[in-house]
Amino acid sequence: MKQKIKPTIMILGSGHFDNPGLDAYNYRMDDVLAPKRQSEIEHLVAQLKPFHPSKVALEVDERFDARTQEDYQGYLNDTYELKRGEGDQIGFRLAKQMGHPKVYCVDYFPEKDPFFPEDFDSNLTDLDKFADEHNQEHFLPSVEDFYAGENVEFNEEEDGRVWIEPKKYESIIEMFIRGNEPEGRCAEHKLYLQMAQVGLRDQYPGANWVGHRWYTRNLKIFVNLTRITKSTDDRILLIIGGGHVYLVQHFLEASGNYTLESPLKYLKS
Amino acid sequence: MKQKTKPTIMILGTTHLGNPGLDAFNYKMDDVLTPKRQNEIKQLVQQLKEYEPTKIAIEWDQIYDSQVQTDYQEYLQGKFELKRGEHHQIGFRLAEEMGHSKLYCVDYRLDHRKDDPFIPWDDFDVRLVDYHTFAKEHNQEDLLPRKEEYSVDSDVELHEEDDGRVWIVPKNYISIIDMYIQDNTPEGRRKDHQYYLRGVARIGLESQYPGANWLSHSWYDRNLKIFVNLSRITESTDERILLIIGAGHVYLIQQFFEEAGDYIIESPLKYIKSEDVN
Repeated sequence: MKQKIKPTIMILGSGHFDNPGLDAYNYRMDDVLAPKRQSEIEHLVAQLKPFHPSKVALEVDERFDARTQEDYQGYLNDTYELKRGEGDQIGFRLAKQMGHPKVYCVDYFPEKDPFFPEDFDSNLTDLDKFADEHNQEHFLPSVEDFYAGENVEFNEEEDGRVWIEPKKYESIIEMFIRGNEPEGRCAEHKLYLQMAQVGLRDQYPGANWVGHRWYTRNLKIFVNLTRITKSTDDRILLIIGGGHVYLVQHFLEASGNYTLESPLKYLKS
Repeated sequence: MKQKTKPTIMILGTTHLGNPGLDAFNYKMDDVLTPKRQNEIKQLVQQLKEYEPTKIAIEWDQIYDSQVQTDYQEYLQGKFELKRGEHHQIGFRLAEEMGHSKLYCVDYRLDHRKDDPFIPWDDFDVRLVDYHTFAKEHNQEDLLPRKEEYSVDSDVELHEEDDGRVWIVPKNYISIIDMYIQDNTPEGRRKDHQYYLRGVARIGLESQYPGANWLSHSWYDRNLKIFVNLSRITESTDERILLIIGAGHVYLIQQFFEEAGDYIIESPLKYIKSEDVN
């Protein structure tokens, strides 16, 4: 039987390497520029190379495309020093080793979203506030839910931000193997459906946030991946925050247009 | 026996029996009020009764709740004649048989709520979601639903109206029960969903995403809120909810339930059996 040939995508779920502390909960990475971490990352990149990506796609919005390409060109010419982010550390390195002329920005995080005008009433999507005010905290996932069964502890700072810190040293490769287990990704997605339930009667702050923010963004990442797919020979590697993996992968699978590969096929500790 | 720890849901995908013609592709029903069809529907209701639903949820927006309850109360008192729609023909009948005091409106219709905060129809740039026009203007018609995808089924003929709506007309007589078996086949439902991602989602260029906007801000939003409304009417783990809804919704709502993992999901194919009447 003739198999229909489809382009291939592999999604590498990643923690954020550069500790931006932007989220309510942040994974504490030690400095990935330290020599030990650098050699672990080089090891990881060497393991990903056998996937033979034809394109490397990054969690960067289109509007930063020019700057990203400029940085990448600088890196190719040895005039740019890699920053701590996983896009630089893994994406740029791998793209260079594969001889790619550019990298691809596929995130959707526009400065102005037409569905969220300037006078947008933030209560419409503020599920935390609604849950607090209406005794629905049980729908809100706790940070422990996101790291169920994992080897981490939680430290809260004075400003309320929580840092998730590993209890014992974990190599970069071990970290990526843990972060790409399908069970963990499904368990995380389940939390979004729980959060969607925050609301009462005509008010749906949970579903509004999950639908109008989270699904939209991930659906557009899927669309952007289809836009950069030029032939059935394409083998695209997407490097993206672990929370996105389940949905983007679901859209790709449900479309029936792609062959999906798991990074666990390539990563060996 | 082990105590039941999760409520149960069953989603019955349906053709719109009243022929509203609201969709791009519409299945053409003959008149379901004829005695033969009425018999078939009663037979279907008997089969669904075996599921023992505790609540019946229908594809009507909450804003019509009082209307629906008034109609249902009158129906219980023998003062209301059922109309052609499936919520009456199947929902009201089954609810009465089960002794239910009401039905549950769980839909969220953006297009019936002019004040929706994300897509306020009266004050909204419709081009943001009008993937149909965008596709025509940008040579992306190949991403729109195509008649050919329906013609592969040799049992139907397609009739296109002047406004572009297509009626799918069966060539041979098919009983209500066989129709519901067909409407609830997982493979068919998966294909509906695949079509949205393979085609509609991708309509757009550069910073324009009319397809993905419609799919997420309208279609996903609506189905996610139906899922939320069903969880809101779930009061205990003894609950056995039956949702009667257009077949195009089945995949997505069922997927939300599967992903959330909080319900036991039953298939209507377990209850609907084609009987040899000859």
